[in-house]
Amino acid sequence: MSTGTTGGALATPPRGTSTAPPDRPPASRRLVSALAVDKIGAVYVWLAIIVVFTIWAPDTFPTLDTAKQILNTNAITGLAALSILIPLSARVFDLSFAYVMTLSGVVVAKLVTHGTPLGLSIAAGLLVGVGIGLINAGVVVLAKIDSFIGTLATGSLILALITMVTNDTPVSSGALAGNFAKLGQTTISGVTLPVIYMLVVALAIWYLLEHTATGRRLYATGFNPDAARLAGVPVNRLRFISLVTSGTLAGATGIVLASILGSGSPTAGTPYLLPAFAAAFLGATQLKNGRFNAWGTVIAVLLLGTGTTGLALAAAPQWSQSMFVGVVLIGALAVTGLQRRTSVSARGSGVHGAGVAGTDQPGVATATPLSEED
Amino acid sequence: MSITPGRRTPRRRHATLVPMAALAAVALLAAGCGSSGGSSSGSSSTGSSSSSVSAANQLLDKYTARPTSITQTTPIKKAIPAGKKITFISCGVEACAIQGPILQQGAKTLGWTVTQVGTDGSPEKVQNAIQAAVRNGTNAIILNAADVTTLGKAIADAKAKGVQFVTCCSLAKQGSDVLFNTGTPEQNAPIGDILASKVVSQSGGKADTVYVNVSAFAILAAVGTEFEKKYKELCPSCKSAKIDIPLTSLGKDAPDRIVSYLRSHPSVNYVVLSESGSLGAGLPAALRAAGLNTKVKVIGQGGNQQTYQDVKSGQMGGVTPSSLYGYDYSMLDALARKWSGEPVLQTPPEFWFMTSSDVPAAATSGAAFPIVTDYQTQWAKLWGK
Repeated sequence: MSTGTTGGALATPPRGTSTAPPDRPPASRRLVSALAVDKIGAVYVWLAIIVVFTIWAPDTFPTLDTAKQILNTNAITGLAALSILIPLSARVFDLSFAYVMTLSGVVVAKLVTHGTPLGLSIAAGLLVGVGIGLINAGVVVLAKIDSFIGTLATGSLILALITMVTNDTPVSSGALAGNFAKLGQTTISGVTLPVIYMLVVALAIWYLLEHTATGRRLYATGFNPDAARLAGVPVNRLRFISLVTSGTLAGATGIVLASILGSGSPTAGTPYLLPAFAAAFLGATQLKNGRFNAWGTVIAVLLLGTGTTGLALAAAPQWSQSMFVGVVLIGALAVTGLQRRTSVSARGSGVHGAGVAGTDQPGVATATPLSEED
Repeated sequence: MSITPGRRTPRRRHATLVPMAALAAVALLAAGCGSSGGSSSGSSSTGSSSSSVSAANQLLDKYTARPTSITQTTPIKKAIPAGKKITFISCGVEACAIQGPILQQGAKTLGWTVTQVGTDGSPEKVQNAIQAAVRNGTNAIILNAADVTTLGKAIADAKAKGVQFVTCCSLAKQGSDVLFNTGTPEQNAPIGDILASKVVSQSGGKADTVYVNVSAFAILAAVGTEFEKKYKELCPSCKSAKIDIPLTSLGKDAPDRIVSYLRSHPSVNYVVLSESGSLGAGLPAALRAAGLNTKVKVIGQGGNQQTYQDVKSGQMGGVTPSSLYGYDYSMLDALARKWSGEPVLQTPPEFWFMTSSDVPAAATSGAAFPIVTDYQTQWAKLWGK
């Protein structure tokens, strides 16, 4: 075919091709696709677990109280997992978040104990999170240190700060039992406020990642930073902001945790390190075909929480809960790997178009794996 | 370049369903095997005889008043050499770390110095700390909560250079390597009696109790054994059960495990914690959220500042606080007796069942508080200072 000098030749597309955009699949097909096992397989497993425990512990498990217990018990894990979601989307690890949680909690507890107004104390705790986030961002983005090692190192520094502030003893006083305790211990119809916080944060992150250009750029950065950079995505700036955001969210989570405990414990955040990453990675296998996402994370948290609470109600051996979490996590990561390999092979070279910057149109983002709804 | 969107074949759909469902099923089946998580005992009849409740009251009365005397009563008659250097190797957790300042305070009375070395409690770090302390010319090493069986060579080498070892709160046996150990399982056992008598006394012999244990804390095993024995003795008709919380649950889902047990055993009205500090973290809030805070009473052994705050506010029914000052001054006393040429004497720690009405201000404002308020004066008197 000649080049573009002959308008007539280009005015008519070659026989057998069409430039019209593909028709949107019918609603029923979209619904079936949305309910597909590879999209929400964990939900089906969750339902199966509910059925199993309903049969196993019929007197205690299938009750509203159990649902509330699962929500209440796992709200902090959910918040912790959501706090690392944005950097994970940009392929940045923040291993310091658990220590940020602890440090924010003890700082707020110290300030409240010494008579600082609650609002100021909370602001200071959040600033601690922001500050650590900035340090992490400096280490990872400006100093170009791998995020896994860099944030592990800053975590060690934070641990030193925690010891300096607390001398390894909890910060506790009657002052923490007042309004500060209400932050984390107030219940609404048996559901504690941290559950509400978790849902609000999940909603915000969902909106950011799924409905804004920033979210698309974050995913693009995470999937292929070089391609994203070439496409005009400000990769370093996004990674910088993602770490500041995770520090802030981790700080807020730590404050809520301190409120629940009624003290600033020097070891409060550490137990959440593994469960938060487990939930984030398990959540990535749901809804979005291998992409970290907010609602998948919430589903993962509740799935794991349902299993562990169910095992406790059924008086299963004490080792059963850890085994359950480990097996489910391995299974989920295996599935994620399978999904990623499937996506990469389906997309071919993996780079298509250059219109990702400044657009919110579904299906145009290039650095994210194509899925059936795109 | 054209892109053909990846289409999942039915085979790949099954590939995602099968592993997840299968693995989840395997996990549940594996978890379902084995015995139940709690062991229980007790008859189904209600109430206990008034004489049993009376016996419980009498036993409890011995421990409801705050002790006013330290348990050591034998003075050191010979001169205690001054200028001794002691190294305190901390196990790293809160309960260990707070003992450093106490030891330093007591050592000052004796004209000694204490250097605190922090570790994470791992045998490797503790061994290194021992070797460093010996190189620095220490005269004695104080260890707490250490597993001395893993430190055999390090201790033997240090002993060969004349360094003395004293410990607290460990399973070590006094002998050739360890000069003195306090807070031993045998010494802690009476705490079980106190807790059992409290439950029987307060419940009027109508208790249904769950004893929450952390088997990883072997030092507290005797407390649980004694609790069960005295509980059955004081109230044969009272029900009891025991659940074990894994170490990995402390600070995380321990409250959830306890709440789950209580929900699946709604007749339980007492929860006894073998270690209130670690098991009690977050427990009052979890009980409140589950609507159980008015249905069960929680008491326990030990605790920390937060625990004492919970006792003071009524969220816990009472605890037997650890006599950290007693342990530490006893260890210094053992060294003083050794270096002055007098026999090393073993005495138990002070016991006190503290309730909301008698929580001292010091308990909620500092890392640790002395059971006996004028302990410094009493110890100094024994030492001739």
